[in-house]
Amino acid sequence: MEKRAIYGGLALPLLLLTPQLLVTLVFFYWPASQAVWQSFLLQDAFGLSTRFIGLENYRELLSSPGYYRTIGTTALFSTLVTVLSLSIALVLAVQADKSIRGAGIYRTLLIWPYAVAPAVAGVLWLFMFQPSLGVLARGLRSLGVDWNPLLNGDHALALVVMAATWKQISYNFLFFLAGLQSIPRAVIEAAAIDGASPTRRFWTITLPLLSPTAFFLLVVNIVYAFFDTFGIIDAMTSGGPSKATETLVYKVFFDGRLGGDLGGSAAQSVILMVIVIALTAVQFRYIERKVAY
Amino acid sequence: MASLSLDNVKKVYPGGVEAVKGVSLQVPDRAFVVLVGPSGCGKSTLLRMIAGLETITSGTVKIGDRIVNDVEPANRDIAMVFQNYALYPHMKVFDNMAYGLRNRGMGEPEVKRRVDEAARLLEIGQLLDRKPRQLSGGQRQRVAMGRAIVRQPAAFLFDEPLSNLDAKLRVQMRVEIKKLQRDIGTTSIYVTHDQVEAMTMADILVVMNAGSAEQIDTPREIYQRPRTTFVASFIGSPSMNFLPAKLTGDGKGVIVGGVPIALTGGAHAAASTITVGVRPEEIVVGADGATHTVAIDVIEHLGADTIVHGKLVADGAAALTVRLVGYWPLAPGEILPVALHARALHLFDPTTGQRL
Ligand SMILES: Nc1ncnc2c1ncn2[C@@H]1O[C@H](COP(=O)(O)OP(=O)(O)O)[C@@H](O)[C@H]1O
Ligand SMILES: [Mg+2]
Repeated sequence: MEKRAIYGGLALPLLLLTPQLLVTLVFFYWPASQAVWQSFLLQDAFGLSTRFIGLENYRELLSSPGYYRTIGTTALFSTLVTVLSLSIALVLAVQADKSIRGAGIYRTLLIWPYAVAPAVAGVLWLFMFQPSLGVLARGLRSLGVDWNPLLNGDHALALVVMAATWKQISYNFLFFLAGLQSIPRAVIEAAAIDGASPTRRFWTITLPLLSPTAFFLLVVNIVYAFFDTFGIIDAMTSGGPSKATETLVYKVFFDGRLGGDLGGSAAQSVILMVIVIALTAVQFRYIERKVAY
Repeated sequence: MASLSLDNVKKVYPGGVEAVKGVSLQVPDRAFVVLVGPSGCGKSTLLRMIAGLETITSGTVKIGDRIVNDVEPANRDIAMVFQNYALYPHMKVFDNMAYGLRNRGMGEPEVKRRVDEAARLLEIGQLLDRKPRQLSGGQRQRVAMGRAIVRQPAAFLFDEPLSNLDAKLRVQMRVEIKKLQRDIGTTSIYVTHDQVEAMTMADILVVMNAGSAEQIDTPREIYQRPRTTFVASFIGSPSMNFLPAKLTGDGKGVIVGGVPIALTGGAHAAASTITVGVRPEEIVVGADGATHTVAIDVIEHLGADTIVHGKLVADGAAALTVRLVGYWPLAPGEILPVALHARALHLFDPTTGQRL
């Protein structure tokens, strides 16, 4: 199907696009090109002199074991956050959908507070797991778990995973719920008459019909886990203990801002940028082909 | 295949809507029953209770000899065709049809044999590899039928299956469904608001109004002897005319528009006010033997028929519609002589709407 408006010339469309183009230029292309340029430079710690060194920053980065460790941490962290937040949100959405089937917008609006509450509760998590004062931290310790995210890297990772997951559940929940509500009731009823048990209905009808939503959320959640969790990590563990919770995006900040290695940090951001572009490309590719039914 | 029976079935939705107010119905094995009535009269609710998709507030539903009130839809041995077809959008046509068989653990060779058989019957063999979105409305309709047929259930339930099709396709599918049902003989309950579908398809016709079954009869009986004014006006197109009238002093005649007409049947309560019904196609036009005259307001030429809307030239000037066969060169404002014959009259109580 062709959906194309016909314009007389080039002037009007360009004029109409100008604000959008300006915003994109100023806030994306300009900093992005700066980062690329920076990544070819070596700058001394005081920012007094710079020198062009080509791909040296990349070479150094890719030969440092610390970088690979961070990649590993990021992969583990992102996988856990994505899988957990998607599956928990799906379970919640399925429960909510059962009780509000066919009740329209009104009930959906009623659901919102429930959806938003987890984000608020995320703050509580921090308190609850605070090693010396937190209720759950003390509970865990009384169960024999020596809970100490300040010293134990695995505990620290578990803590940021939980917090990051918790923060993302509400978002996923809303999308899953909307997806579930848009599945025609008659299709589910037809499956019931066709002898499919509720569990079988879920796996053979609901989930496949939800797959466009799920795939969209998968990409969004991976991007979230990669980039938007900077704040959580910074506030809770600052990448520690001994870099156990240092993800790629946190390392960019740490090396560039605190370590003063602007060139290396810029090289890292360029690599991150490539990853985002790849993810977005995958999203556009697949969401329109494979997953759509 | 099985008979089916409803005994005083009621449905009250949460919130107090009384959608079905006690319907009893006997469906013999292999019969084709049509539930017809205006939108919102409870047809779908009744059908969905039979399917097990709605709980039954009171009364019993029996399929064969088994009371199924508390049986899951999957175990009622019925198949349903939905208004929007409700095909599984992510499955190919073959898998749509095979789904119910596979759920019941049928072996793949038998599944294939059954699906191929149904596909042949419905002439959709070349569509088996397509997804529902690649099908036209008529083809989806066939697939939905196929999905029901492969199961070889005790009964088919149809909920307005043709209402999303264009007029021409609707006529074609109507004939096909009827023929198919006669060939395979599966007991069927068919919901529609279309009185032509109802009249042409039904062995037994149930006319519903506001949650009750007003009349359960053969289509012919319902057309010829409607039991209430509601049934009389709902079945037949254009609708039956209703005229205010009075019975004569001896109760053996009726005065319509000031003209007495002798009745053929027994005597009625003398001198009471009644409603007289007369179908537009049973009004005889012509100067010979005319009893009344009609002032023409509007003429509709349908090609095969001419429909005249006018008013009786008499005090009260009741509206009257006349259906004439063929093309009649009439004009608004003309006066048409007509005859109302006693055998064409249906007498109703004006307050209860019941046939007298
Ligand atoms: N789930 C429901 N909850 C409450 N009322 C309903 C529900 N479904 C239908 N109704 C009401 O029950 C009546 C009958 O509906 P329905 O059986 O769908 O009618 P039909 O199929 O004859 O058009 C209507 O007044 C409708 O508003
Ligand atoms: Mg309906």
